[in-house]
Amino acid sequence: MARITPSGNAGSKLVRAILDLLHVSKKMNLKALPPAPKRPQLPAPKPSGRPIRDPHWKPPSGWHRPARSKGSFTGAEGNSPFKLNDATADHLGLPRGTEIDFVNGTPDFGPFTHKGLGGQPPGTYNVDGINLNRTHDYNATVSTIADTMGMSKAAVREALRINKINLHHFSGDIMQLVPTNIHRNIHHSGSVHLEGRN
Amino acid sequence: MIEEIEELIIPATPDSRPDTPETIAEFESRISHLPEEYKNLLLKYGPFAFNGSAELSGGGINDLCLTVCRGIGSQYTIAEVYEEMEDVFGDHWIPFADDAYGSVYGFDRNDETIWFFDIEAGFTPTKIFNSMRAFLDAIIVEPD
Repeated sequence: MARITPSGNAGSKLVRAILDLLHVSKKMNLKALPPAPKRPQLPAPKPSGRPIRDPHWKPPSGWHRPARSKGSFTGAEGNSPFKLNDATADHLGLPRGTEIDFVNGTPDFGPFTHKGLGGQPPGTYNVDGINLNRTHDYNATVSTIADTMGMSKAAVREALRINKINLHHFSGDIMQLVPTNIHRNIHHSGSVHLEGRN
Repeated sequence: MIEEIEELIIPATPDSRPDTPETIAEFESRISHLPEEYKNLLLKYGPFAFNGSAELSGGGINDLCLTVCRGIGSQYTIAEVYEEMEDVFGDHWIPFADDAYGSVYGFDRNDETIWFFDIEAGFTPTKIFNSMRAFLDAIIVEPD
Protein backbone atom coordinates (compact mmCIF):
# COMPACT_ATOMS: atom_id res chain seq x y z
CA MET A 1 0.00 0.00 0.00
CA ALA A 2 1.47 3.23 -0.98
CA ARG A 3 1.82 5.72 1.81
CA ILE A 4 2.49 9.32 1.65
CA THR A 5 5.02 10.03 4.23
CA PRO A 6 5.21 13.54 5.31
CA SER A 7 8.68 14.76 5.09
CA GLY A 8 10.12 18.20 4.92
CA ASN A 9 10.90 17.95 1.26
CA ALA A 10 7.68 16.35 0.18
CA GLY A 11 5.63 18.72 2.38
CA SER A 12 7.20 21.87 0.97
CA LYS A 13 6.68 20.60 -2.55
CA LEU A 14 3.06 19.99 -1.78
CA VAL A 15 2.61 23.42 -0.27
CA ARG A 16 4.31 25.04 -3.23
CA ALA A 17 2.11 23.03 -5.61
CA ILE A 18 -1.00 24.14 -3.79
CA LEU A 19 0.15 27.76 -3.81
CA ASP A 20 0.93 27.57 -7.51
CA LEU A 21 -2.46 26.08 -8.14
CA LEU A 22 -4.14 28.81 -6.14
CA HIS A 23 -2.10 31.47 -7.91
CA VAL A 24 -3.05 30.14 -11.32
CA SER A 25 -6.63 29.75 -10.22
CA LYS A 26 -6.63 33.28 -8.87
CA LYS A 27 -5.18 34.65 -12.10
CA MET A 28 -7.67 32.66 -14.11
CA ASN A 29 -10.52 33.86 -11.98
CA LEU A 30 -9.38 37.43 -12.28
CA LYS A 31 -9.27 37.11 -16.03
CA ALA A 32 -12.68 35.50 -16.03
CA LEU A 33 -14.30 38.19 -13.87
CA PRO A 34 -15.84 41.22 -15.49
CA PRO A 35 -14.05 44.49 -14.92
CA ALA A 36 -14.35 45.73 -11.36
CA PRO A 37 -17.26 48.09 -11.01
CA LYS A 38 -16.41 51.73 -10.53
CA ARG A 39 -16.50 52.97 -6.98
CA PRO A 40 -19.97 54.39 -6.28
CA GLN A 41 -20.08 58.16 -6.64
CA LEU A 42 -20.83 60.28 -3.64
CA PRO A 43 -24.26 61.85 -3.83
CA ALA A 44 -24.29 65.20 -5.56
CA PRO A 45 -24.25 68.12 -3.18
CA LYS A 46 -27.64 69.49 -2.25
CA PRO A 47 -28.55 72.18 -4.75
CA SER A 48 -27.84 75.52 -3.23
CA GLY A 49 -28.70 77.76 -6.12
CA ARG A 50 -31.77 78.67 -8.05
CA PRO A 51 -34.07 75.80 -8.99
CA ILE A 52 -34.34 74.86 -12.65
CA ARG A 53 -37.44 76.19 -14.35
CA ASP A 54 -39.64 73.37 -15.57
CA PRO A 55 -41.02 74.48 -18.93
CA HIS A 56 -43.87 71.98 -18.53
CA TRP A 57 -44.96 73.30 -15.11
CA LYS A 58 -48.68 74.04 -14.88
CA PRO A 59 -50.45 75.79 -12.00
CA PRO A 60 -51.78 73.06 -9.69
CA SER A 61 -55.17 73.20 -8.07
CA GLY A 62 -55.15 75.72 -5.25
CA TRP A 63 -52.15 77.63 -6.57
CA HIS A 64 -52.34 81.34 -5.71
CA ARG A 65 -51.21 84.05 -8.07
CA PRO A 66 -50.70 87.75 -7.36
CA ALA A 67 -53.77 89.90 -7.81
CA ARG A 68 -54.43 90.88 -11.41
CA SER A 69 -54.82 94.45 -10.18
CA LYS A 70 -51.10 94.48 -9.29
CA GLY A 71 -49.56 93.42 -12.58
CA SER A 72 -49.32 90.60 -15.05
CA PHE A 73 -47.10 87.70 -16.06
CA THR A 74 -44.90 88.37 -19.06
CA GLY A 75 -45.02 84.71 -20.10
CA ALA A 76 -46.43 81.49 -18.71
CA GLU A 77 -48.78 81.99 -15.78
CA GLY A 78 -46.81 81.31 -12.59
CA ASN A 79 -43.59 80.41 -14.41
CA SER A 80 -42.29 83.70 -15.78
CA PRO A 81 -41.62 87.24 -14.54
CA PHE A 82 -44.57 89.06 -12.98
CA LYS A 83 -44.37 92.69 -14.06
CA LEU A 84 -45.72 95.11 -11.48
CA ASN A 85 -47.97 97.81 -12.81
CA ASP A 86 -46.98 101.39 -12.08
CA ALA A 87 -49.39 101.84 -9.18
CA THR A 88 -48.05 98.76 -7.39
CA ALA A 89 -44.41 99.64 -8.07
CA ASP A 90 -44.99 103.15 -6.73
CA HIS A 91 -46.80 101.79 -3.69
CA LEU A 92 -43.93 99.43 -2.88
CA GLY A 93 -41.26 102.03 -3.58
CA LEU A 94 -39.82 99.99 -6.45
CA PRO A 95 -38.80 101.29 -9.89
CA ARG A 96 -41.57 101.24 -12.46
CA GLY A 97 -41.28 98.21 -14.68
CA THR A 98 -40.02 96.01 -11.83
CA GLU A 99 -40.49 92.31 -12.48
CA ILE A 100 -40.60 89.54 -9.88
CA ASP A 101 -39.66 86.22 -11.40
CA PHE A 102 -41.82 83.20 -10.64
CA VAL A 103 -40.19 79.78 -10.95
CA ASN A 104 -42.48 76.77 -11.00
CA GLY A 105 -45.18 78.76 -9.21
CA THR A 106 -43.07 80.34 -6.47
CA PRO A 107 -41.80 83.93 -6.56
CA ASP A 108 -38.06 84.48 -6.39
CA PHE A 109 -37.64 87.47 -4.10
CA GLY A 110 -33.86 87.16 -4.34
CA PRO A 111 -33.30 90.56 -5.98
CA PHE A 112 -35.45 92.20 -3.31
CA THR A 113 -34.06 90.51 -0.24
CA HIS A 114 -32.71 92.53 2.62
CA LYS A 115 -29.10 93.38 1.90
CA GLY A 116 -27.63 93.13 5.36
CA LEU A 117 -27.08 96.78 6.10
CA GLY A 118 -25.17 97.68 9.22
CA GLY A 119 -24.27 94.14 10.17
CA GLN A 120 -27.82 92.90 9.79
CA PRO A 121 -28.47 89.52 8.20
CA PRO A 122 -28.02 89.38 4.42
CA GLY A 123 -30.78 88.13 2.21
CA THR A 124 -30.53 84.48 1.24
CA TYR A 125 -29.51 81.45 3.27
CA ASN A 126 -29.20 77.76 2.58
CA VAL A 127 -30.66 76.23 5.70
CA ASP A 128 -29.95 72.59 6.49
CA GLY A 129 -32.86 70.42 7.53
CA ILE A 130 -35.72 72.47 6.09
CA ASN A 131 -38.82 70.31 6.42
CA LEU A 132 -41.58 72.83 5.61
CA ASN A 133 -42.82 72.91 9.21
CA ARG A 134 -43.22 76.60 9.98
CA THR A 135 -41.88 76.60 13.52
CA HIS A 136 -39.03 74.22 12.77
CA ASP A 137 -37.91 76.12 9.69
CA TYR A 138 -38.12 79.49 11.46
CA ASN A 139 -35.93 78.21 14.29
CA ALA A 140 -33.52 76.54 11.86
CA THR A 141 -33.19 79.75 9.86
CA VAL A 142 -32.63 81.86 12.98
CA SER A 143 -29.92 79.42 14.08
CA THR A 144 -28.25 79.49 10.66
CA ILE A 145 -28.24 83.28 10.56
CA ALA A 146 -26.94 83.43 14.12
CA ASP A 147 -24.09 81.05 13.31
CA THR A 148 -23.26 82.79 10.04
CA MET A 149 -23.35 86.30 11.41
CA GLY A 150 -21.93 85.59 14.85
CA MET A 151 -25.08 86.92 16.48
CA SER A 152 -27.23 85.54 19.28
CA LYS A 153 -30.56 84.06 18.26
CA ALA A 154 -32.33 86.80 20.24
CA ALA A 155 -30.41 89.43 18.27
CA VAL A 156 -31.39 87.76 14.99
CA ARG A 157 -35.07 87.74 15.94
CA GLU A 158 -34.88 91.37 16.95
CA ALA A 159 -33.13 92.33 13.71
CA LEU A 160 -35.87 90.62 11.72
CA ARG A 161 -38.53 92.49 13.70
CA ILE A 162 -36.87 95.90 13.63
CA ASN A 163 -36.25 95.71 9.89
CA LYS A 164 -39.67 94.17 9.22
CA ILE A 165 -38.29 91.19 7.34
CA ASN A 166 -40.19 87.98 6.58
CA LEU A 167 -38.82 84.56 5.78
CA HIS A 168 -39.80 83.15 2.41
CA HIS A 169 -39.52 79.46 1.49
CA PHE A 170 -38.24 79.79 -2.07
CA SER A 171 -37.18 76.30 -3.04
CA GLY A 172 -35.52 73.33 -1.38
CA ASP A 173 -33.28 74.59 1.39
CA ILE A 174 -33.27 78.19 0.19
CA MET A 175 -34.75 80.71 2.61
CA GLN A 176 -34.99 84.33 1.54
CA LEU A 177 -35.30 87.34 3.86
CA VAL A 178 -37.83 89.60 2.21
CA PRO A 179 -39.13 93.02 3.30
CA THR A 180 -42.63 92.51 4.66
CA ASN A 181 -44.28 95.09 2.43
CA ILE A 182 -43.06 93.39 -0.75
CA HIS A 183 -43.71 89.88 0.51
CA ARG A 184 -47.26 90.65 1.62
CA ASN A 185 -48.26 92.58 -1.45
CA ILE A 186 -47.38 89.87 -3.92
CA HIS A 187 -49.87 87.18 -3.04
CA HIS A 188 -48.45 83.81 -3.89
CA SER A 189 -48.03 80.16 -3.09
CA GLY A 190 -44.69 79.45 -1.43
CA SER A 191 -42.86 76.16 -1.65
CA VAL A 192 -44.49 75.21 1.66
CA HIS A 193 -47.84 75.30 -0.06
CA LEU A 194 -46.69 73.73 -3.32
CA GLU A 195 -44.46 71.00 -1.91
CA GLY A 196 -46.54 70.14 1.14
CA ARG A 197 -45.69 70.23 4.79
CA ASN A 198 -44.25 67.54 7.05
CA MET B 1 -51.67 80.27 30.16
CA ILE B 2 -50.51 83.68 29.04
CA GLU B 3 -49.78 84.57 32.67
CA GLU B 4 -47.21 81.77 32.80
CA ILE B 5 -45.16 83.24 29.99
CA GLU B 6 -45.48 86.92 30.86
CA GLU B 7 -41.89 87.04 32.04
CA LEU B 8 -40.87 86.13 28.47
CA ILE B 9 -42.83 88.98 26.87
CA ILE B 10 -40.62 91.75 25.48
CA PRO B 11 -41.34 94.93 23.50
CA ALA B 12 -41.64 94.28 19.76
CA THR B 13 -38.80 96.74 19.16
CA PRO B 14 -36.70 98.93 21.44
CA ASP B 15 -38.98 101.84 20.54
CA SER B 16 -42.23 100.09 21.41
CA ARG B 17 -44.24 101.69 24.19
CA PRO B 18 -47.37 100.58 26.08
CA ASP B 19 -50.59 101.78 24.54
CA THR B 20 -52.81 104.16 26.43
CA PRO B 21 -56.53 103.99 27.12
CA GLU B 22 -56.94 107.03 24.88
CA THR B 23 -55.19 105.55 21.82
CA ILE B 24 -57.07 102.29 22.24
CA ALA B 25 -60.40 104.12 22.53
CA GLU B 26 -59.58 106.11 19.40
CA PHE B 27 -58.75 102.90 17.51
CA GLU B 28 -61.96 101.24 18.67
CA SER B 29 -64.09 104.16 17.58
CA ARG B 30 -62.33 104.42 14.21
CA ILE B 31 -61.82 100.79 13.22
CA SER B 32 -63.06 98.09 15.58
CA HIS B 33 -63.44 96.96 19.15
CA LEU B 34 -60.67 94.76 20.60
CA PRO B 35 -61.06 91.75 22.91
CA GLU B 36 -60.60 92.71 26.57
CA GLU B 37 -57.75 90.24 27.20
CA TYR B 38 -55.81 91.70 24.34
CA LYS B 39 -56.43 95.31 25.37
CA ASN B 40 -55.07 94.55 28.81
CA LEU B 41 -51.83 93.29 27.29
CA LEU B 42 -51.49 96.34 25.07
CA LEU B 43 -51.98 98.64 28.06
CA LYS B 44 -49.15 96.79 29.75
CA TYR B 45 -46.71 96.30 26.90
CA GLY B 46 -47.85 97.86 23.63
CA PRO B 47 -46.82 95.74 20.63
CA PHE B 48 -44.95 92.78 22.01
CA ALA B 49 -42.78 89.82 21.09
CA PHE B 50 -41.14 87.02 23.05
CA ASN B 51 -37.73 86.30 24.47
CA GLY B 52 -37.36 82.97 22.69
CA SER B 53 -39.10 80.97 20.02
CA ALA B 54 -42.88 81.24 20.29
CA GLU B 55 -45.38 78.82 18.84
CA LEU B 56 -49.07 77.99 19.25
CA SER B 57 -50.23 74.63 20.52
CA GLY B 58 -53.57 72.94 20.06
CA GLY B 59 -54.98 75.12 17.33
CA GLY B 60 -56.59 74.22 14.05
CA ILE B 61 -53.16 74.15 12.40
CA ASN B 62 -50.32 72.40 14.18
CA ASP B 63 -47.11 74.19 13.19
CA LEU B 64 -47.87 77.83 13.82
CA CYS B 65 -45.19 80.20 15.02
CA LEU B 66 -45.74 83.68 16.43
CA THR B 67 -43.34 86.59 16.23
CA VAL B 68 -45.23 89.81 17.00
CA CYS B 69 -48.52 90.80 18.59
CA ARG B 70 -49.45 94.19 17.22
CA GLY B 71 -50.51 97.29 19.11
CA ILE B 72 -52.11 100.63 18.47
CA GLY B 73 -49.75 103.56 18.71
CA SER B 74 -46.12 102.68 17.97
CA GLN B 75 -44.59 100.68 15.09
CA TYR B 76 -46.19 97.26 14.53
CA THR B 77 -49.70 98.68 14.52
CA ILE B 78 -52.89 96.81 13.80
CA ALA B 79 -54.07 99.69 11.61
CA GLU B 80 -50.98 99.41 9.39
CA VAL B 81 -51.87 95.86 8.31
CA TYR B 82 -55.59 96.41 8.29
CA GLU B 83 -55.35 99.39 5.97
CA GLU B 84 -52.68 97.76 3.79
CA MET B 85 -54.74 94.63 3.24
CA GLU B 86 -58.29 95.86 3.50
CA ASP B 87 -59.18 93.71 0.51
CA VAL B 88 -58.32 90.63 2.58
CA PHE B 89 -59.88 91.59 5.91
CA GLY B 90 -62.81 93.80 4.87
CA ASP B 91 -65.39 94.35 7.59
CA HIS B 92 -64.95 90.84 8.84
CA TRP B 93 -61.55 90.46 10.53
CA ILE B 94 -58.99 92.53 12.42
CA PRO B 95 -55.33 91.49 12.01
CA PHE B 96 -53.52 91.58 15.34
CA ALA B 97 -50.43 89.34 15.12
CA ASP B 98 -47.79 88.07 12.68
CA ASP B 99 -45.75 84.95 12.14
CA ALA B 100 -42.18 84.89 10.82
CA TYR B 101 -43.31 84.48 7.21
CA GLY B 102 -45.71 87.42 7.00
CA SER B 103 -48.82 85.38 7.64
CA VAL B 104 -51.37 87.12 9.83
CA TYR B 105 -53.54 86.19 12.80
CA GLY B 106 -56.89 87.94 12.80
CA PHE B 107 -59.96 87.93 14.99
CA ASP B 108 -63.49 87.81 13.71
CA ARG B 109 -65.21 91.06 14.61
CA ASN B 110 -68.52 89.30 15.12
CA ASP B 111 -67.72 86.29 17.26
CA GLU B 112 -64.06 86.93 18.23
CA THR B 113 -62.89 83.59 16.87
CA ILE B 114 -59.25 83.58 15.75
CA TRP B 115 -58.20 82.93 12.17
CA PHE B 116 -54.87 82.32 10.43
CA PHE B 117 -54.25 84.00 7.09
CA ASP B 118 -51.54 81.97 5.38
CA ILE B 119 -49.34 84.15 3.17
CA GLU B 120 -48.03 81.11 1.32
CA ALA B 121 -51.57 80.13 0.42
CA GLY B 122 -52.61 83.54 -0.86
CA PHE B 123 -53.88 84.61 2.59
CA THR B 124 -56.57 81.97 2.66
CA PRO B 125 -58.10 82.16 6.18
CA THR B 126 -58.42 79.12 8.46
CA LYS B 127 -60.17 79.19 11.82
CA ILE B 128 -57.71 78.12 14.52
CA PHE B 129 -59.15 79.10 17.93
CA ASN B 130 -62.58 79.86 19.34
CA SER B 131 -61.52 82.92 21.32
CA MET B 132 -58.72 85.37 22.02
CA ARG B 133 -58.32 83.78 25.43
CA ALA B 134 -57.72 80.38 23.80
CA PHE B 135 -55.18 81.95 21.43
CA LEU B 136 -53.25 83.64 24.24
CA ASP B 137 -53.29 80.50 26.37
CA ALA B 138 -51.94 78.44 23.46
CA ILE B 139 -48.70 80.42 23.26
CA ILE B 140 -45.64 78.39 24.17
CA VAL B 141 -42.25 80.06 24.39
CA GLU B 142 -39.00 78.12 24.22
CA PRO B 143 -36.31 80.36 25.73
CA ASP B 144 -32.88 80.28 24.05
